[in-house]
Amino acid sequence: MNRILIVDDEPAVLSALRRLMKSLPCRYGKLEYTLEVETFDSPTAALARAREVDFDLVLTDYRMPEMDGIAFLREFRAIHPDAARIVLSGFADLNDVTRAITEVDTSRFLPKPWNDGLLMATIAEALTFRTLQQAAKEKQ
Amino acid sequence: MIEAFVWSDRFATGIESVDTQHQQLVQLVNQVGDLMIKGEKVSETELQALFKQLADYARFHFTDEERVMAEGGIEPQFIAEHREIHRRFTEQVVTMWQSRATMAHPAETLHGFLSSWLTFHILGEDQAMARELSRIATGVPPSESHHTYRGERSSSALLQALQTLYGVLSQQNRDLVETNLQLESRVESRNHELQKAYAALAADHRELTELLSKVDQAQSQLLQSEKMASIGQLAAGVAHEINNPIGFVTSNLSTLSRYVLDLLRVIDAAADSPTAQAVATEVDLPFLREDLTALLAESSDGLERVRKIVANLKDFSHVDEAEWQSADLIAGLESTVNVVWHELKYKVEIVRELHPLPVVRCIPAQINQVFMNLLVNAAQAIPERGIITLRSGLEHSNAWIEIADTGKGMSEDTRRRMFEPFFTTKPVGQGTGLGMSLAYDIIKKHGGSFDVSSTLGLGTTIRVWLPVGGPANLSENAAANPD
Repeated sequence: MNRILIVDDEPAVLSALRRLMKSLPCRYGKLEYTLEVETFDSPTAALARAREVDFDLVLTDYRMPEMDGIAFLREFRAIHPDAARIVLSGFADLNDVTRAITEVDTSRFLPKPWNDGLLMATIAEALTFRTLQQAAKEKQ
Repeated sequence: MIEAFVWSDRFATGIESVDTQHQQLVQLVNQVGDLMIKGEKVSETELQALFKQLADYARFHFTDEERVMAEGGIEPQFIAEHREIHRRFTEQVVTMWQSRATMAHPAETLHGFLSSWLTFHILGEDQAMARELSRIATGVPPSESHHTYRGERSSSALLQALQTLYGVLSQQNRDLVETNLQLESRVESRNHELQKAYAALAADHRELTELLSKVDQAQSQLLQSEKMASIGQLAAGVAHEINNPIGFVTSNLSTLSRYVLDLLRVIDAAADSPTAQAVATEVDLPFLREDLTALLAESSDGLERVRKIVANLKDFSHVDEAEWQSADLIAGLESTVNVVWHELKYKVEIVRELHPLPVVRCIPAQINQVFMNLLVNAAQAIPERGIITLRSGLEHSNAWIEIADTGKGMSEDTRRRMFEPFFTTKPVGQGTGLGMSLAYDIIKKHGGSFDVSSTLGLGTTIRVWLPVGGPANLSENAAANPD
């Protein structure tokens, strides 16, 4: 069971993603992940929840009224440094992508509209990579 | 009103030829007076002709009179004196004639002078001359016959005073003529200066008008590019907004398809139930099953098209990329074709003869703008149905994109003026006449050029050349230089 936090100021996007994650398998090779999804249309509310419980992966919109995706991820990383970070955005220029990668070490930057299969594969991949990183850390 | 100059017997000298000529002169003087009093209604040539006639006749008469004097035996020195009087008269008349424009009443003055002079001359010198001749005829020696009117007390003082008066008048007239001439030359020189000033002013005005039209042109181009920039920004903003709903609708639609498959499985499982069979017949289940697939496929198809349009709009506007970069011209051309597809699709068939190009150093948003203007013009040149052929190629280090249409073509005049700002062949209000001039400026800034060939009735082919490495002076152009 992997806990996923999704943030987008558009509730319909959240519903669609929730449905998607419930109805499509999340596989990476032979690995299959069961996802437990929590969604928030407010980054602030999402951060409050993140302080209460653990998340393995966070998927966030980039342009939101309260704070942008980068600012949100920066705060989120302070709470859960090991969670995988993915940005899902309808509009982003090269600057935004660069910031997402260099400032908050985002593993993927996906465009909207997204492709369902690709999104699920990206999540599975990020989760696998995270597991491997954690295993490596424990060995040290 | 001019008093007619009346001939009187007292004028008679007793010499027949002289008297006839005097009478003729009196008549001519009266004619001059009559004409002059009519003022502007008399043509200058008419007046001049009459005056000349008078002058000619006076000269003839003077010569004749002088001949009579010589034949009558009058001593040469007295003839010379008389001739001198004649000469001064002629001179005065000419002076008066020339200065007539400065006189308050030229007709009266001239006529008055002529008639008075003739009166006094005939009564004075001519009568004296006649008496002298008759004396010589009676045997008095010529040297003793001369006897001026000055000797006749009754009239001499008066006549002499009048002669002096004429002298003063004539001097004044001469002065007047001179002043007049000076004035004329001053007016002329002023006129000349004025003309020079006017010419300078006209040149200034021309320069100003030219400058103003340049400012106008620059302003319109600025407006046009600002408009394009804001359209680009708007497009990008709209694209962002649209991408959200496209995202979740697309995703939901896939989820829905999966739900439907599950539901169909449920229906299949319950197919044996009589109730289910009744409902299935009622709703025409076989049709629903078949149409559901089509409905979902068509909906995803529609969404995919919306997604493409938005993606093209974003590519086309390139708001995030309004700087020099290495770009794929053919990709730019294709995304532009998609953006203007609504202008083309009902009458144009696109034929592609595209050869791959290396990336070209350019501002893609601006090059796309050029492609758009060319494509829209090509489509508008096609009245009903036609073909637009897209070609590309590379020669040395210059890439070219060619857009050829089978439209109505351009006249030589249109072809020559097509890049002029505000030149348009479209009806008033439909074209700004700026599209091609903007395109020209963009390509010039990129160090490229246009090749245009057009045949009336057959179509137009426009080739855009761009140096692969960008313009030679890229660093200068990269600065926000509006030129």
